[in-house]
Amino acid sequence: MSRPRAVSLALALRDLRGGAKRLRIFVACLALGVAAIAGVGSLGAAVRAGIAADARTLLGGDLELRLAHREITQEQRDFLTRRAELSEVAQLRAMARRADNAERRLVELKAVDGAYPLAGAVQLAPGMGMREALGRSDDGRWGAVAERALFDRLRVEVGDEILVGENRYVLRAVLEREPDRGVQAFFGPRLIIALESLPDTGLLQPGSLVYRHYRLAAPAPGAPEALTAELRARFPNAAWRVRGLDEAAPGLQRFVRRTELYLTLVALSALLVGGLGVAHAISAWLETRIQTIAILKSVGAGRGVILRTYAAQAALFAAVGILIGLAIGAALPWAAAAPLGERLGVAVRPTLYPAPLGLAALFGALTAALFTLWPLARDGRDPAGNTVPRPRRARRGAAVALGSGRHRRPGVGVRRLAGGERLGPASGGWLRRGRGHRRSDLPARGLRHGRAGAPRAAPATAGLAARRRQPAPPRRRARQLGPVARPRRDGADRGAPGRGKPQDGDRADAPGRRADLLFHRYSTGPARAVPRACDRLAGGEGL
Amino acid sequence: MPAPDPLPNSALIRLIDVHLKLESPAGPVNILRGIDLEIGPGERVGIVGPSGSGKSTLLMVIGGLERPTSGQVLVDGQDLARLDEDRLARLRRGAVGIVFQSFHLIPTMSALENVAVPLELAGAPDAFERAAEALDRVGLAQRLEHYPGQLSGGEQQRVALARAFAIRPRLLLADEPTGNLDGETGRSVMALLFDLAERNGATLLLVTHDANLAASCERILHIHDGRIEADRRGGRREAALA
Repeated sequence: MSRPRAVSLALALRDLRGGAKRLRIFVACLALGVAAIAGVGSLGAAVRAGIAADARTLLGGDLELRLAHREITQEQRDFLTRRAELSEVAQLRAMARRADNAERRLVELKAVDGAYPLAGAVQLAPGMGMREALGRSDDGRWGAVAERALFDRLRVEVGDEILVGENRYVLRAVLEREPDRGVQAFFGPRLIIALESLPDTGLLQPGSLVYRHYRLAAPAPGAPEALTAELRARFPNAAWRVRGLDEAAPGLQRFVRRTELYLTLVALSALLVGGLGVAHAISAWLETRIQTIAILKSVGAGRGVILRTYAAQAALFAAVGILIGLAIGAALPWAAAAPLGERLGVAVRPTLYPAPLGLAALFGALTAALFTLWPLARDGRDPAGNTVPRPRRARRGAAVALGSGRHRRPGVGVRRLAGGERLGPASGGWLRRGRGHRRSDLPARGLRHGRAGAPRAAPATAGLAARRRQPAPPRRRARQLGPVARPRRDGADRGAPGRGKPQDGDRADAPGRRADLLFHRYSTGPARAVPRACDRLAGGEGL
Repeated sequence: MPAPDPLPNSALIRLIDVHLKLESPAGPVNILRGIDLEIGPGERVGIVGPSGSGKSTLLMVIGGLERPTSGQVLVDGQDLARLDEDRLARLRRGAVGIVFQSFHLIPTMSALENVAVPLELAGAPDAFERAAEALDRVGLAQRLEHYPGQLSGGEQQRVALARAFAIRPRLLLADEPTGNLDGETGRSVMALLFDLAERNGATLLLVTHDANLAASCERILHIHDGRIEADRRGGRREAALA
């Protein structure tokens, strides 16, 4: 590290000894935005990883051919069965009715063959195999399994009969887990029947929207790709759509991608809005450091030193905020894995995903840079004599750290830095100062918990508070102030808080001390307080 | 205005027709009204005048902390109007020490660190050693690690003196350095100030309300209403500090 940078870093760290409460907002804003982006990204990555890991199960095999309205030809079927294990599934929407026709419900009907499922396992309650659940019983009735929602809607139990089209089915089990379900826009609960029984329903009419899925279980790794190529070569005009493992659960993948994009945009917006909080926090922080900046400039700190010093502080706190955000975001997949996996039908895989975390960190860093460097840079440009508190009315918005040039009054800075507040008519400082001052101009304010701080003679302020309630004389009297009415704020610079009696070097100047305290109370109060203080001082109160 | 005494051949500070006018809602206020001044190397100049007469402003104009409305300010041969903020800062950390009435120490830094800051900014590799020596010279060798809030007013001002002299400045600007100190502490601080200035061969500009302190300087400027009303030479330093 170069020497100027090392000096700036050292100054930054020393300056932070006084605490940085105001930067908590800065950290919180960044942490929130980064957590949102990191969380959304990590969760999306976890879902995608789950889909990738369970691709075979979600697809129902290694390869799927999908046709609408029609079946494959016998030639095609023969070709497929020669090369891989084949399973056929037909899907359509139908109306399921209770045997007495008293209740009906739209269902997502799935007719499966005996090879279903090629990958994964169907979970039924009570536990049984699919053949047993869907097969034809001795009395000629077909079996069916359905999701619990259908049982509830039709008010039937396991063992009851339902009607699908013209066919009658016995509900033999509750479908608890369907391996290839994924996320689809379901219009009703799932009902699974045997493919063999589908023609008997009378639902297969010309024009019926029936999707045929032909799943293939490849005999060896790498075979799906070869089979796909062979299919394209052998049946170039086939109307099927071929999907491999990389397209497993396309609906789910599309849903995850869109949701992730939407939530990322929301999170990014939150981060940018949080950037306003960042800018405000930095501005507020810089206001508390004005005295230190002024001192640094008076002893020869240039613009670069000031900029680097406070940029280092901002970077430090930005890093803290980003790290907190990343930690929260990275933990989100663990927190959401169970409920989300249950809803999506995919085993969400919580782990650390560097890419979304890196992206979130990048966005956080850019936001921090965007919303902090501007006020910091402006501070560095300010003349040394201007680096002092300004009247409230001169401030324009949260991002204005140190006021704009046209509101700056050089004389104010010099007089404050010089330690002499001038209330006399010949003083440009007061005349140009306007109204109101910030407490931040107290040099000792930077330290916490008694290392240095408030004026030592704090008890005397009680009486002053009572005086403040008295009606103020006309403001114009402030311009008639004589030497006696020259309150100085210097008392705040002396001694540590809590020390009750004067120490070596303190001037036992009680009226002057009261004037100091009075100045302080009014200088840190509402905007109109200062002229009132001047008015009282002009009247000689307490002096 | 009475004619000033003969000026040194090579002035460290030269002000030519310096004006400073500030705007206020009630109209413009003239703080400095045509200051012409030359101060040679090693001179000790007391600046006196009533409150609001422009003493501190004059000091800050010379220190580059305030820019005049018109006129020319030359310090150590450099026209301050031509210097940007960075070059002004460079000038201050190389040649100018400033002592304020209210000390202006950085509260989050120890005495040693406060004194070391200008040295660090100047790139001194032995900043802390030199800062410790400077504090030793002002009698605060035992207070190196104390923070300003843990020091008395007199001690804080001595730290401020050590900070100002640590860079061995050619020009020292002191704005009522004893204004916040009791009489005895003030006298000891002033003795220290003069001693350090003499040992460093620094030019001293001292703003004060104390006629005795001003008399301890070789040259006294009387400022009134933004003008130099009198420029007298021949102080009685020893008597004043006795």
